[in-house]
Amino acid sequence: MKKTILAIDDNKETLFLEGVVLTQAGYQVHTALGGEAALKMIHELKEIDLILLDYEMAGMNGPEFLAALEKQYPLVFEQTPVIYATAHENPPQKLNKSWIPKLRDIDKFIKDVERFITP
Amino acid sequence: MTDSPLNDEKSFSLTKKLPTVEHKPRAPDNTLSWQEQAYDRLKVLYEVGKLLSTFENVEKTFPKILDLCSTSFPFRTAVLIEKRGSSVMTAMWNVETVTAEQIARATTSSKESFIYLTGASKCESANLRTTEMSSRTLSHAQTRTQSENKDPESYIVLPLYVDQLPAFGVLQLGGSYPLCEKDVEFVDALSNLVAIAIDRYYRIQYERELKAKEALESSHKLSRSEASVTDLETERELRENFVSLLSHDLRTPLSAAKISAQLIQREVGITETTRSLASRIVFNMNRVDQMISDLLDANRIRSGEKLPLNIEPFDLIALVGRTLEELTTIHGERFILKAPDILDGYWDQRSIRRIIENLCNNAIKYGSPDAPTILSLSQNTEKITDQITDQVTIEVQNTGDLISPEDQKTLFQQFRRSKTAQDSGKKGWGIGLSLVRGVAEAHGGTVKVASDAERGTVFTVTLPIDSRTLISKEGP
Repeated sequence: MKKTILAIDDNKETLFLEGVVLTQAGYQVHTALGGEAALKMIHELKEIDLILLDYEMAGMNGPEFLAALEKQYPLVFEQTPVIYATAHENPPQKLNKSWIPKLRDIDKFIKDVERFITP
Repeated sequence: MTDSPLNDEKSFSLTKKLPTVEHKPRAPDNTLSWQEQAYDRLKVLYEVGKLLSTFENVEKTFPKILDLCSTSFPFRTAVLIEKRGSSVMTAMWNVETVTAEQIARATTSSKESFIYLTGASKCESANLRTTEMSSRTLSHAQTRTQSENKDPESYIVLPLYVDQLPAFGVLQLGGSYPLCEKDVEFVDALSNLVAIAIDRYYRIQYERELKAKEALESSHKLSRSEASVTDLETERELRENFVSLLSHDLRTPLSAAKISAQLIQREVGITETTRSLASRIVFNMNRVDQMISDLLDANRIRSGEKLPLNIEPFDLIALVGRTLEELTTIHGERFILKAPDILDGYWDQRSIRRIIENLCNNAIKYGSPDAPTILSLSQNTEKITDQITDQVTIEVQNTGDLISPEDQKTLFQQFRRSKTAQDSGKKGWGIGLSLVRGVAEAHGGTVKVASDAERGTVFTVTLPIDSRTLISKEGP
């Protein structure tokens, strides 16, 4: 059974490529263009093994999405590991979550994700 | 009297009537011996001196002085006229028993004295009728006795001056009985005290005003310079934010293009040409990415931020070897490495790689195309303030056009390109060497340049063998 990743990003290109790269790496991938889209999608998804969340998004940003998730789907919030993908080289410490750099190189990105989940 | 310029009240820019002093004039006390009277007046002068040492202003201090004096020296009217700059101030005190006529006479008389003693405007032509006025027999003081028959009123007029005449004002005391010489001596001493006090008061005021003015001016200057500093800082922040944003925004599409090319490379069944083209895209995208990194780091250095380092143990020779291999694929067999087999230490791999890349690329770019670029790595110890530090030295040497001493001074500044570099017609941003210096300094090291006919141009980077110490020392 493939592990499932929900990738959330407000950039279409990035989201598409994350989908392709992670699919090729052997994951089952769902993509959501932004936090609102992700919230709508979540109740349809049976099981998510990892949420890969863009930190800086127009509209609802990463932390705001998590707050909304906690409110609407407390169980999902409690049980699903979340990592931020960030363009920052030194993300703020207050993130309170693990983070990986955004997709800039396929091999490196796969390695980064594998630290949290293997297919 | 109508001819007197001072009859025109307009010439007195400030005229004040002061409250009446509760004062009962008395006839000279003949029951006192002259010694007792002298002692009495000495006491008064002493008290007046004390009062004047805290001279507040004429309105506050003078009534007190007059009260004191009246205990020992009887008078009915007191007029003070003083000249301050272009304005003249007159103050008059009188006792209740004084008639309007007496006041008018005392005022007129004091104005005449004022003109005479201060050399006020038109004093020569002023109608100074009284001969007594001009006969200044008793040092500074003037005694004048009105005709005894009519309304016996005598004035004692004292010029107020410090150091030398002309006076800056007059103090006139008026009584209804003839004044003796002792009275004049007493009032003369009194006027000296008053003159010194008033003079001192205005000097202090003047100094205060001057200081306040200076303080105001300097605060204006300061706020102006603060404003320009703020402007500069704002401008700098804007520029830095701009660079930072631009770089991040550039990176997103750049990464997308690169990842797409990488994905093409991984496709099965593509032609060799397609694979080669894809790898070219990846290679060039990486170069742009590196430029953005350089720009971001240059921005960091410029804003005084420390470069983020990831210090870890590794073999420097192996890293330099790998970097040279990559550079050889770009520039060809142009490098000679002189180094020991292993050189282990603690540094940031990515940063050291950038030092090597920058210096080597510069050597190829600006050095002689026929001669090799020589990299020399060595370990040595240096004694810095009683502490022996293990260091590693990286030298990058090339022949070709030399760098002038003037250019050497500004070589490591951002966006500065040496004249040699500009004349070479080669393109550059002028951030490479400032990055080399930033990286070296972030490691606790240094970089310097020497350029002479004998060795050509040599860049020398010196780093501590273990940069962890520096990081931990500077950490919070």
